Amino acid sequence: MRRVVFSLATFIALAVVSFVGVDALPGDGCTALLGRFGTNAKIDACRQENNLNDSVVVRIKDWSGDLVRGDLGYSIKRDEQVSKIIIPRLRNTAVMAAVAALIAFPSAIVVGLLLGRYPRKRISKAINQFSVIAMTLPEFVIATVLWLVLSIWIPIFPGVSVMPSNASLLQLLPNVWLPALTLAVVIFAHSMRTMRASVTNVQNMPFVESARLRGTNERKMISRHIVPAALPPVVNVVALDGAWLLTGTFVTEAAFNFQGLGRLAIDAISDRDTALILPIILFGLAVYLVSSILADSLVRVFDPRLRSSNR
Amino acid sequence: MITTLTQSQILGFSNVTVRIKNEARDSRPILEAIGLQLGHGETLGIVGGSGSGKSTLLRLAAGVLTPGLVLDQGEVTTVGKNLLVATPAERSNIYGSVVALVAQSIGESLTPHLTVLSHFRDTVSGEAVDERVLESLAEVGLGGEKYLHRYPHQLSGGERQRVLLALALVRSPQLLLLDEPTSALDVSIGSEVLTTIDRLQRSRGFALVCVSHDLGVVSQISKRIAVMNQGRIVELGQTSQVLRSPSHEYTKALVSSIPKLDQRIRESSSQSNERVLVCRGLQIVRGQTTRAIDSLDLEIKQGEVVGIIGESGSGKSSLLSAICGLVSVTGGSLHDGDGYDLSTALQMRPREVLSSIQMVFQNPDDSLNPMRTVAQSLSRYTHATNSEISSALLTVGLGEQFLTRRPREMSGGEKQRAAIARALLAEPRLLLLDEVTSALDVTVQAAVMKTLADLQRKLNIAMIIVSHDIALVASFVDRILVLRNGQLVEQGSVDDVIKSPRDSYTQNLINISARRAAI
Repeated sequence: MRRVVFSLATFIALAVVSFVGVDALPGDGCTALLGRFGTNAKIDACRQENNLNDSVVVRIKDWSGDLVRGDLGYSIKRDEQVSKIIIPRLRNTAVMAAVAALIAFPSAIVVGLLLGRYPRKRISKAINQFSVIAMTLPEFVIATVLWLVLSIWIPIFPGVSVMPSNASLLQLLPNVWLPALTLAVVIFAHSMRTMRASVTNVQNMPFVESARLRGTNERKMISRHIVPAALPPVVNVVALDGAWLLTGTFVTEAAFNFQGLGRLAIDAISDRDTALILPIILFGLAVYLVSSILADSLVRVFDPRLRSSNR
Repeated sequence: MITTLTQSQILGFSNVTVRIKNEARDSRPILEAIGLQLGHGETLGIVGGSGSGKSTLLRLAAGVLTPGLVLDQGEVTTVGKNLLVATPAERSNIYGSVVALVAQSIGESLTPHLTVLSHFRDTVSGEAVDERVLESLAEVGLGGEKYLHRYPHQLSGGERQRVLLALALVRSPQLLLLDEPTSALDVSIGSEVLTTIDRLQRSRGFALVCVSHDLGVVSQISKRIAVMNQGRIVELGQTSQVLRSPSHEYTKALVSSIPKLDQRIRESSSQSNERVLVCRGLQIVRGQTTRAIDSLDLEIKQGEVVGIIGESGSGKSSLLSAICGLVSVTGGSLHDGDGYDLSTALQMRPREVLSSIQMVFQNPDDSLNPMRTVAQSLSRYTHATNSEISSALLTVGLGEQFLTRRPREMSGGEKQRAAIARALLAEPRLLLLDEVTSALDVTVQAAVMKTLADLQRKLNIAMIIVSHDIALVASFVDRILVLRNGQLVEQGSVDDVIKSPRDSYTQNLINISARRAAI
């Protein structure tokens, strides 16, 4: 509970910092809208109309009041409600993230467990080496390779998504696969290696040998002793990677022209559309805070020592 | 003496030699030409110092060869089988039902995320599991249902050891292997656990092999004793006979090095009236509310040696930590002989005060930097020259060749001596010794205590020595303090406390110690 309150306070503080930071950048919605045709008089009139001449404190108050009421603001540049722009793209990114997570995390945990159990097998070493490569390659390289293989040589998936941002789920799905696979490769390597290291570590603990010497069979050894003890570090990595899937997919979305939150963020930044940038930043913040709270509570499920220390 | 009836044999070692993998043939093996026989229902104690190979031998009896070692020659037969070549499935059938091993690290031998009952469910199934579990917990002295749903961290050390025993015995194995069953426990609790093991062995009649560095422990629960030194069994015989008339040099040293309550290894030296430490109504609170020390009054004079006895949680380590500034004082006063207030933070203490109080810690492996040579470790902060260091080393019985050695090239006793030399270089007026010999073998322990006694006589410094071993303390100090739950329950001269203890806890410690000395 204390944790939630603390996170909320962190969120508010960072929100204010973000607002002031974005505000301090040169340019605002009006200069963005009018571009190089904006004379001083026109810009000033525009600012007057949109209350941009008020002091920072007043604007923060107005903005946060709107936020609490569920109003994300208004993009002067795009002449549209911010929520109308963001929500469909958020859905697209969420679907892509979900597909990537469903592909990567379960397989990473299983493969990590097997690699940890049989570290000497040649196949284990090969997979391990491969995962180092997958982790170090930039996303655009993985994206290009996947595109080459799965779209050009074996044309299964469309190489570039040509769909409106508010396409229906059925239209969206074929376009999700390639970017989701790209992301899956990156997070698979990451969480698989964590699981492998954790299993290796747990297997050498005295309680594992102790259980074996009591006659615990192999199946129970894994399901009751090794896996629950090995999962906590993996949960934390999964939480971080999960948050990254929702907020850090700029490169992959750009590579496949996928109409998601990452693309939108890049566009908003290059347009200096401050009204649009801020909610995206706040969303990222919220995702990281929520995911770390979730991870911590999940770790408590696995470790009774953490449960009792807080009582 | 050696059982010849192989049909009734449950464990047999014939000419077993174990080496470190890839090491030259002429190097000293870990186990050398071990021959042992154990019949059904027999008990054997294996005693030896660290590195003697006793744990390797015990694990080998369970068919476990420590990674990095190879069986060079010989054969180990456990219940008629060579477990080393058994498949994992065959082993898991044998473990727990025929052979059970309770490992040394009782703190880590229970799975932290499972309750006591869940541990049993690994191997006990069928009907009425709960009743069977309750029954076997009651047998080891953990009666009542309250233990079933506890997690390991909610158990004390003694309770964990009892749970591990119950887990090992729940399917009635014919052979129980115990590795240092009491080394992690307080003396009084360890003694109770041994009594339980002895009772179970007698009533159930399983064969028992118990490994320990402590002659007192193995002799309490085994009819025969094997003494190990440097990978060999140097003596094997009936317990009473080995203790009464040891034949091998190492055994003799082992027997004579057991501290006895009525034996002094240090004569009281002259004490002046000058005080080096005064504390009044001292209170130390650790964590949120735990009172580690509660309203303690203590005065220590120049040249006086004070022993503090207490079990874990009694506050004895907290007191030492507070005196040397590692823990903050929360109430009362703590001053040194010049009236300097020691309740100030360590960082605030002037250099003279810092050097006047020195502490030697329990484990030299943790207190010496493994990357530095002894000369480097000892000159840091003391800024001592090489000749000063070598003379300090000489006073603790280490030659000049140790100047350039690193901790990994030294034995436990040598490391602890180096740590003591480091404390001496600061020219302290008060030396704090926290269980300084408990990580050492008994034979080494006696030699280190002798060195400390010589030092005290020569330099006439005041010492506070903290230990769980009342006989060791009684043989060394002028005055004994007994702490329990942060409070002083008894204090007085050695004679007063040992001959006429007023507190029941002190009495109990003396009884246990007397029993050990009488073996």
